[in-house]
Order: sequence, then C-alpha cells, then structure tokens
Amino acid sequence: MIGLKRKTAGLLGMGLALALVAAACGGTSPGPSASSPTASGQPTRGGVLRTAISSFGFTGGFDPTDEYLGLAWDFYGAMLRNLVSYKHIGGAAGNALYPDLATSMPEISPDGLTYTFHLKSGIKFGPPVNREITSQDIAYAFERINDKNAGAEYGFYYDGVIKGMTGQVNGIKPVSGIETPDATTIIFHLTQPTGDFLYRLAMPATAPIPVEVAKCFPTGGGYGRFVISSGPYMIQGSQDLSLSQSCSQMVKNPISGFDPTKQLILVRNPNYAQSTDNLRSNYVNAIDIQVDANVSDIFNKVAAGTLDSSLADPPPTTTLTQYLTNPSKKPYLHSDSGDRTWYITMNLLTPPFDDVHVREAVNFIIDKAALQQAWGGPVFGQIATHIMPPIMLNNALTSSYDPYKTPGETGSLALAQAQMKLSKYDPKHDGKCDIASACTNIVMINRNYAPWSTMEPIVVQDLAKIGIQVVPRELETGAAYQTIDTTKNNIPIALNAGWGKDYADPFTFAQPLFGSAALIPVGNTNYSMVGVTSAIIKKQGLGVTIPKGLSVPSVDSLINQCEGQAGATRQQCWVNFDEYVMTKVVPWVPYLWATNLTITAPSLTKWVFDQFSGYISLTQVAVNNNISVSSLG
Amino acid sequence: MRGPPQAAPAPVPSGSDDWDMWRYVARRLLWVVFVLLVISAITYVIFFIMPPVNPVVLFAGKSPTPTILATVSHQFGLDKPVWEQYLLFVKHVFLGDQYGWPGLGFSFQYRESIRSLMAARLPVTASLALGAALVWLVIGIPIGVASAIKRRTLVDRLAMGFALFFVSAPVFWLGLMFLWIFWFRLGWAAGTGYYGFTTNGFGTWLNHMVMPWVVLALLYAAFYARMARGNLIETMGEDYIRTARAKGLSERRVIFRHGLRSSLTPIVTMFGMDLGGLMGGAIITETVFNLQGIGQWAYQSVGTGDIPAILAVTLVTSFAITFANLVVDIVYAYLDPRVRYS
Amino acid sequence: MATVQAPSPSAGPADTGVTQVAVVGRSPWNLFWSRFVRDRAALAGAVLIGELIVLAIVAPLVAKMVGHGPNELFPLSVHGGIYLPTGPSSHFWFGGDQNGRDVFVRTIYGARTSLVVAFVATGFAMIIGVVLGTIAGYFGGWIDTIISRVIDIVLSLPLLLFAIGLATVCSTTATGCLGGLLQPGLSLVSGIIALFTWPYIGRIVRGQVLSLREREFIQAAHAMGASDARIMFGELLPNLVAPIVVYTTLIIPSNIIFEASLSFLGVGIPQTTPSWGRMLSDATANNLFTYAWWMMLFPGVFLLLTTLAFNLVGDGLRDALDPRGSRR
Repeated sequence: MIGLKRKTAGLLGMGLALALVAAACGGTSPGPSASSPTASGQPTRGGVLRTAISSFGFTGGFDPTDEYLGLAWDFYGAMLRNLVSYKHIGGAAGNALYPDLATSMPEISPDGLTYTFHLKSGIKFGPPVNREITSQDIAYAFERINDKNAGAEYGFYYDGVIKGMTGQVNGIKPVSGIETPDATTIIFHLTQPTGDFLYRLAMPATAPIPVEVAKCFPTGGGYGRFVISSGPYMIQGSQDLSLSQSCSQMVKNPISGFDPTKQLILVRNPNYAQSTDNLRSNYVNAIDIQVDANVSDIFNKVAAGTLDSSLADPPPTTTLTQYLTNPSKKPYLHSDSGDRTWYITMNLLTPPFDDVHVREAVNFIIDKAALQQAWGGPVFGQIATHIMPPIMLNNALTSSYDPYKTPGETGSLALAQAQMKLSKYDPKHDGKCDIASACTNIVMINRNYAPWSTMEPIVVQDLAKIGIQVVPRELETGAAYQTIDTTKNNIPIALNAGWGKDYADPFTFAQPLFGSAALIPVGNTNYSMVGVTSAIIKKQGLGVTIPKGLSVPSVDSLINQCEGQAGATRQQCWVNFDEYVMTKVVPWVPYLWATNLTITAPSLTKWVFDQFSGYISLTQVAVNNNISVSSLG
Repeated sequence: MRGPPQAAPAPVPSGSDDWDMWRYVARRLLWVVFVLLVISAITYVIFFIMPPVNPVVLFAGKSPTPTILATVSHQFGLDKPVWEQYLLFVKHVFLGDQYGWPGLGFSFQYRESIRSLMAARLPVTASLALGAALVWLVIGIPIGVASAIKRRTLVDRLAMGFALFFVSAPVFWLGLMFLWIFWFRLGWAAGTGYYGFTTNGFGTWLNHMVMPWVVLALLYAAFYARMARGNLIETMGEDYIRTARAKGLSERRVIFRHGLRSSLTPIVTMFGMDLGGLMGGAIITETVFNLQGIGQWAYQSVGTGDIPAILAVTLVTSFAITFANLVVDIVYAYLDPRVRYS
Repeated sequence: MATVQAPSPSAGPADTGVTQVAVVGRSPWNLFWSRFVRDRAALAGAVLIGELIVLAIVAPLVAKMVGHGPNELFPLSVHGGIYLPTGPSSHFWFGGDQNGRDVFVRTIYGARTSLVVAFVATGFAMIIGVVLGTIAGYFGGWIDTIISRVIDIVLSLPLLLFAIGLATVCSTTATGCLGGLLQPGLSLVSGIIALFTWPYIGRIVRGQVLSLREREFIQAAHAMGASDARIMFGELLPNLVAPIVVYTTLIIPSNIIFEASLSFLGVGIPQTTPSWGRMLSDATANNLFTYAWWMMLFPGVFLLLTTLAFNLVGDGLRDALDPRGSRR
C-alpha cells in the first residue's frame, strides 16, 4: 500500500504546555499494544468513533477497484466484505485469513489451479441496492479490474494469474477464468500455482460491487463517492442515493457522508446481519473521520477528549515526549508494526555502487542507531537488519539475523574498510573509495523534510568516512520518488525510499522491488535495477547502460520458485530469499522497520490495531462517549 | 509612478473624452485577456511539458504497469499533444466545461471540479487577505501620517524605525516568533489552523485569524507607513497647500482636507494591487499558520502534481493582479485628466 | 506570494522621484556620495554589511576557534526515548539543532548563503534589467513594447509558486537545468531569483532612459554620429549608475528573503549547506521551535539584521539620490 505521507505541512495547535519532565531514561518503548483495553471493564456497544486525518491522500479516488492507499483499506475493512478476510486485529494473528462471504475456505484442486467458493446466503448490499449479494457481483469486481479503462492500480496481482485476465480489456467483459455456475458458487481458474492467491482475494478490489451503481463509473476513481456497502458500515446518506436516476444525473449527486476534502462518515448498514459475520465485532454505532490539515490540532483534540483517536498522522516528537515521559499518559500511546521497511537504495549500475563490495561497505558504515534517533527514537521503529519486517515472515526471520552487524548498530569503520579494500574502487587498499570519477560528486536523492532531512547529514558523514562524497538533493515526497523511479536518471543512491506490504506475503516486497518485471522507464519501483539485462533495457526503453564487464544479479527465478509454493516451504523459501538478497545482491541498506503510532483518548475503551491496513481497527475498537449518530453530518 | 501631486478635481468628461475612455478600457481589457493567455501558456510549459511531478505516476499506484500509466494518462487528458491540451483548456475557460463556467477542469488528486475545491478554499484566503488589509490600513496609514506631521521628532523616528523593522523582517520568522511568544509562552492567542465562522462561531474564527492578520499586515503596514509619509511630506510642499495655509486655514484642516486626499491617492493604487495579489493566497503565511487557503493549496499541488489546481490558482491570481491594475488605472485616468488614454 | 516579494519592489523601487537626477547638476555622483556619508543610519547599515561580509569570510576560522564545523554531529538529549536538540551552553552558544550540530557555527556559515544570493543573484538580475531596460527605453517603439510587456507579465506571475515549480523541475533530473548550468542548490536558487527580479530593475532603468533620451548631450552624440551601442552604454549608462546602485540595493533585502523563503519551504538549499531559511524550516519540523526556541531565534535574528542593514543602506542611497523625497 502506498505510504506517501505528505509533509505534515503545518505547525501546532497544541494547547498543552510542553512540560518536558526531567528526562526519563531513554529507550523505554511503550508496551506492545496490538490489542489491549485501555480502560478496565468490558467494551460496550454504541457511541461514535471520532477521529481525524490531515488529508486522505487517496490514489484512486476511493474507488475500491483502483485505490492503493492503506488508509482507504482500513475504511474498506468496515464497509466491504470479501470471500475471505481478516479479523482486523493486530500482530501476526491479524494476518490470518478466514471465510467471510464464503461459507468456508475454498476447495483447491490438487494442482493448485482451481479455487471453488460457496457463498453464505442472506448477505445483502447496503441501501439503496438492498439485494442479496451473488457470485456475479464478485465476478463483476474482477471484470472491472480487467477493464483497462478502470485503471486498477494493483491489477497485476490478478493479470496473468487468473485465466483470461490481462488488464487490457476494453470495457466490462466476462473473464474466462472465473465461473459462476449459480448465484452462490464462484470458481477461479489460475494459470499457475500461486501460493498467496487467497491473500489476493482479501484485497478490497475483489469485494462484490453492485453493477446498478458502478455501471455509471466506467473510468477509474469515479465510484469512490458512491461505494455501496457489503459490510457492517456504509457511507452516511447511502439510502438517499436514487437508483432510478440516469447515470449523468447520478454522477452529480455523490453520497452525502463522504467528501474527500472534508470528511467520511460511516454509519451502520441496516442490511448487515451480525450473525453472518464472526470476524468483526462492530462496537461503535458510527465512525466520524474529519479532515483536519492541522496535525497538532488533531493531537490536541485527542488530548482534550474531543476526538477518540488519531488516525494515520504520526505525532510530532514534541507531542510524543509528553506521552512517553508521563506514566499516566503512556497507555494512550500505541506503537504497532507498520510492516514497512525504510531503506537506502543503491543503484547496481552506477559507480561506485556497481561493485558489491562497496555496497557491503556502505552497509557496514551506516550508523543505523543514529538514523533511528533522527526519526525520534525507538518508538518510531526497530532497527532493520534485513529486508522483510519480521511479522511478514511470521517471525521466522527476526532482527537476530543481522548480516551487517556492528556494535550497537552504530556502524563500523574497520568492517566497512575491510569490504572497501576488496573493491576495485580502492586501488590504494586504504579502505577508502579512491577513484575520484566514481567516488565523488554522487547525487543522493532525499526528501526535504524531517525525519529524512535529519538523516541526511548522518549519511553524508558516514559515507565520507569510506571516501564516498555524495551531493544531497532534497525534494518533496512525490518529486523525490519520481526522480528515482525514472530509470534514465540513473540515480546512484537515494535516502527517500520506503516500502510497505500490500498483504502479509513477502511476494509484495520481492516482485516490485527486486523483480525484473517491475523495470519500466517511468514508475519503476526496482530502484536498484536488480535483474536488469540489455534485452530488458532495449525492450522497455530504460535509457541506461550496463557497465562493461558487470554481471547484474537477478532474483527472478527465486521469486518464481517461492511464488509456486505454499505453507511452510513457502515461508522458508522467502527466508532464504531475504538472506540471498541481503548477502549476494546487497541493493539496500535497510535501516528501520517502522511502527505506526496512534494516540487515543480515555473515551476509547478498547484499542485494537488492524495489521492488514496498518491503522486502527474500525470494527474492533470500542468507545464510551455517549455521542449519538444523529449529531453527525 | 507617484500619482498626481495636487488634489484632483473630478474632470467632467466631454463626449469625445468619454468615447476615448471606453476605447481605452476595451483595449486594456483585451490586454488582460492576452496576459492571462500568456501566463497560462507559461504555466503549461513549466508544469505540463516538464512537470516537476508527474501526476500520472503519482496516481497510478505504487508499482504501476504501463497499461495503468496509459489509462491514467488518458483519464487526465494528458495523452493528447500539449498544444491540444492547451487549446482545450482555453476553450473550457471561455466556454465552460462539464462543471460550469469558467471551466477549470478537475483535480487529479480529489477527482473533483477545481471550481468547487477553489470555492472551499476561498473563504480562508479571503478572511486572511481582507482582514490583513484592514489591519495594515489601520496601522500603516496613521503611522505614516503622524510621522509626516511630526517630522523629525521622536514620533517620526520611532514610526520609521517600526517601518524599517517590519519591512526587513521575514514573514515566516515573524510568524514563528508570534506563535512562540503569544501562543506558546503567553497563551494569549489561539494556535494555528482555520476555523470557519459558520461552523465554529465568530469568536473562534476571530481568535485564530488575529495572529495571521497581524503578521501578514505588519509587512504591508510598514510599506504603507513609509509611503504615506513620503507622499504627505511631498504634497505639503506643493503650492496649493501653501495657498491654503496663506488663506488662514487651520493646519489641521489643511492636512486633512487637502494634503491627505491627494497624498493617499497612490496608496489606493497600491492597495488594489496588493489585495489582488493576496487573493491568490499568501503561501508563506498560510503555511506558517496552517491556513488551508488558495496559496497553500497551490503549493501542495506542486508537490502532488495536481496541475489543474496550479493552473487555476495561477490564472486566478494573475487575473486578480492584472484586473486590479486595470481598475486602478481607470480610476486614475478618470480622477486625473492629465493621464491620457493613450 | 505577495507576502514575500510583491510589496517591497512595488512600493520600493516604483516609488521613484527619478526626475530629480536632472536637478542635481554638475557632479551628480559627488553630491550623491557626500549626502550618503552624512546619513548615519545608512552608514551603520553599511558597517553592518561589512561585518557580515567579514564574518562570512572568516567562518572557517570561527569554526576552528570553537573546534567544530557546521556539519559536525553531536549527541542529542533524550526525553523519554525521544531525541531532541540540546540548548545553549558554554560549548554551544546558540544551542544545537535536530542533528546535534552547532547552531552558532551554522548561523555564521549561513551568512555566506545569504550574501551570495544578495550579490550574485541580484547582480545577474541587475545586468539583465539594465541591458533590457536600456534597450527598451532607448529604442522605444515595438522593442519597448515587447520588453515592457514581458516585464508586465513577469510581474503579474505568482512568483513564489513558479519559483517552487522551477526549482522542482530542475531538481528532478540527473543533470539539473540549462544543460547542467543550474545545479540544484545555490546556483539554481540564484538563477531563479535573477529570473524573477530583473523586471524591477528593468522597469526603473527604462524610465530613466526615457527621460534622459531627449536631453541635449544625447542629441549631440546622435548628431556626431555615435553608434546606438555607444550612446546606450557609453553616454546613457554612466548617468544611470547612481539610480541603478540605489534600486539594486533596495532589491537585495527582498532577494535575501526570497532565498530564505524558498529554503524555508524546502525547495531551496539542501540541509547540508547552512542557510538561515532552511534552519528556520528545521525549527518548524515536529514543532521543535516550541521547545528548541534557539533554533528559531538566532538564524532569524541574523536574517533580520542582514535585511535591515541592506534596507538602511538602500534607503540612505535613495535619499542621497533624491533628497526632496527624503526621510529627513
């Protein structure tokens, strides 16, 4: 999911005096809080969950077919039901799949190519559709993904995987690999065994969509303000949407409870039957999400109790200090794994990083502890020692695997120099990058705001220790990504990059970040150019050249190998993959597995984190604020 | 230009003068249209031909495929040749588009019409600009006048010291200092952010606007004070003022009835243009005080590649400036017969 | 936009009193200079500028004296596991920043950035403005129309927005802009500032040339068959030195603020080059300035003193040029 968080543009509004209590001994991180009641007593039903966000930042207009923003997936978790779904809880348990619309987990053919689901009966779309959800509604969601006009942003999880899906079809056409023999049965035919296929069926784009409404939105993004509920909550005012009006009229009258610049209000879907759902608790009567560009104001309101929780904005360090130093406030700070790795990316094609020894030296020299401090401290995340956040591998590979271990993770000049001496850029064997043309004036892309700008002097200084002179260049988030994802720029090293999972399978890291299939001239996500060949450069028009005599490592066969497996062998395969990338390819310096930080008010009586979306679990938290739904809107 | 030195008696335009004036106005209006076309073309060159941020990549998901890039490009209308996009844009501005007139297109980020997004931001910018304008007039002009009247006294020196200080102080630093002192340390003013008075009440709105007003206004107040002083001093040296004095009018009467009127005319010019410019948003002030106005919207749109938003703000700002210019010139020409409609 | 740029040049240089040059008589430059040196405030400003220049030059010595450079990193203070800047101390006179760097040393080095912008960017703006303004005023006709209209158009652009756009455009390619001539950083920022501020000079110079064009000595030069280039740059320009100096000086402070604003918004100078605007921007991240007030106070005061000094000198020069519209 996309992690483009814009600069929290503004300042303050904290009405609290910033009393910095005498520094408590550093490093005490808040307890793991995946699911802990913050007040005694049982969670009660009722009330309104009040929260706010600085900006939604949707990538696809909130249309489930397109939308690639983790925060949107958090909302969909309360609005949409899939064939299989999560319990929307935190930790590794939150990554487990259960039947949701389906009566049970699918029957899978022995060759792993056919998945058959049966649907529960009596599950209806929310108003104004009000009819039973059928297998055709799910097939329709796939037909939309397959329609090139819709612009399904993660259609690649289905294209070439389900028979007949290419993402290139013009208009809504049946997909040959999806059968709906009756209203409660759906069968998927795959082209190859795909071990994480069920995860892909839990993605919001595959949730049933009623054609009555969606037919009016043939191009991407449009359906976002008309999303019809299939889950416990719906957009407030859904019942007022008239199905009898023409499409040209309908597009002018979006559902009232959602305005992408102002708010999203979710209320209970009257057609939802709790009896059909054993995944979600649905304590609150409504969810009120307001846009408040003033981040500090959001945290003020949480502190004052006029909001029950923050949502996706990271708290300013000055605010965090209050929560970390005050024992009575500490329980209201929640720090959960965001399943995101922040890393320095090096380009395998540009000197001096075209030499694996230089890349290893860089891994040894970077002071990861200082980078963690630049973020604010340990509460922002654990120091990353390899690619995949541990939860992604079900803790089979944790931070105890540390191929570039240095004392205190502060970097080691001796170890770095030892590697540098092996490199062709150190003819003097003094442990420094000696060849001026390769080692000086190296452009390093970075973001222009904290914490990235704070990391910059550290990285510049560390690299200088081994003779690498970088010239930092600071850009806005989007511009920085664009600079490194345009291959012809051939940017040697970049500090701005981070990657979050789409679903809890390492494939969502491996393929886009290291697969040669991701290599395209603009929008490339394989910034290190792993697996690039002259043939790919020519075919895609990447505008780069491979230095003479260099053989660029490829991990394509490893990815394919893992993708064809399931269960424990699959997990072990990904562990091996991670180790291989870290030691043989060395495209990155991973430095932080980020947490997502949420601050709640005492009125939030039950805190639960949704591991899938990476934010508060809207269907599992409870509040005690006596706010009535009628006061909303 | 410093404007007419003497009080301008309103000319009685003769028939032909009247005709001249209308021709003049028509020509100037054409000029405004021309300027806007050129400015939007420049905007196109900068933001469409060599975009700082390519919106297609930004809104095609985090690992896009060429197919999706093509689809998004088509949705945004960016797959057409640039000249065609530009002509289409011009056509929509003049004839309107699906969202009404003038057609400013839709936002890539919010997938909503630019006009409605702009309408949502306008109250913020208008609150800031109008409020600040009021403050700077109320502060700046009296200070300038007092300083001119009490020339070479302590009052004058203090006043000009004030002006010099605030002419020199960077707005963002002033904003931070104000926040730190009046909000954080003293707790007198409310913090940042915009709170519309329709939803939050007049008091809250006012409370949050006072600091931005003052900070933005101080800079202008300083300029206006200096200008008012200079103009008044010059005017007071004119012959007709001496005549008025010689006639035995009280000094008070001379200053307020004769001196002020003509010396403030050029300030009206300035005021029109400054206010016009501010309607395009004050990026820095809006950023420091977190006011989600036109300026900040445009600034953020550069970062998100929301080119239609940038284009719209550019157009509206330039229109406000050139149009204010035109109005001022016409008023001038009308007030001062010596200005030829040439 | 107008917050930074618009008012100062429109209120400053546009407020001319240019015709007074003619009244001055025989040795305008001498008179001009003798008036200027009697202006104590302006002299104080000049002294301050001189000190800033010296400070900028000796910045490495200052670094040596305190024992560390502007990019040297020192430990932060820890509050409940959060790392925050350290306050002023006998070691760090102005405190430390978010990286534990010495704000004092960085503030001194920041003078270099501001002065480069002050002189280089304004210098380029002046050259473009003088050349185009002279050509427009001298030739008149359609040349004048084109140049004047270009000036009008540039002046009605939302400058800051365009500057942000251009700065980003030139930073997203590997080579920078104009075939690598404008590298992201100081040279790019200076180029952008020059691009957007020459019209202020151009407009003034054009007006001056217009009024001088009909004077006897120019007519005489014409009669003697002097070439246009000779008349423009040999006869006209020397008579314009004083006003050009005045209005260039008056633009300097607003250009310094322009650079600081771009850096404040994060599109100017990268973090590793000390710049007052960028330091203030660092102070706003995470609301740090509410705690680390020293990160905001010191760079801001230096920025203020610098613009104040240039304004004092500019005012003094203008008064010397045009004593009638003066402050005293």
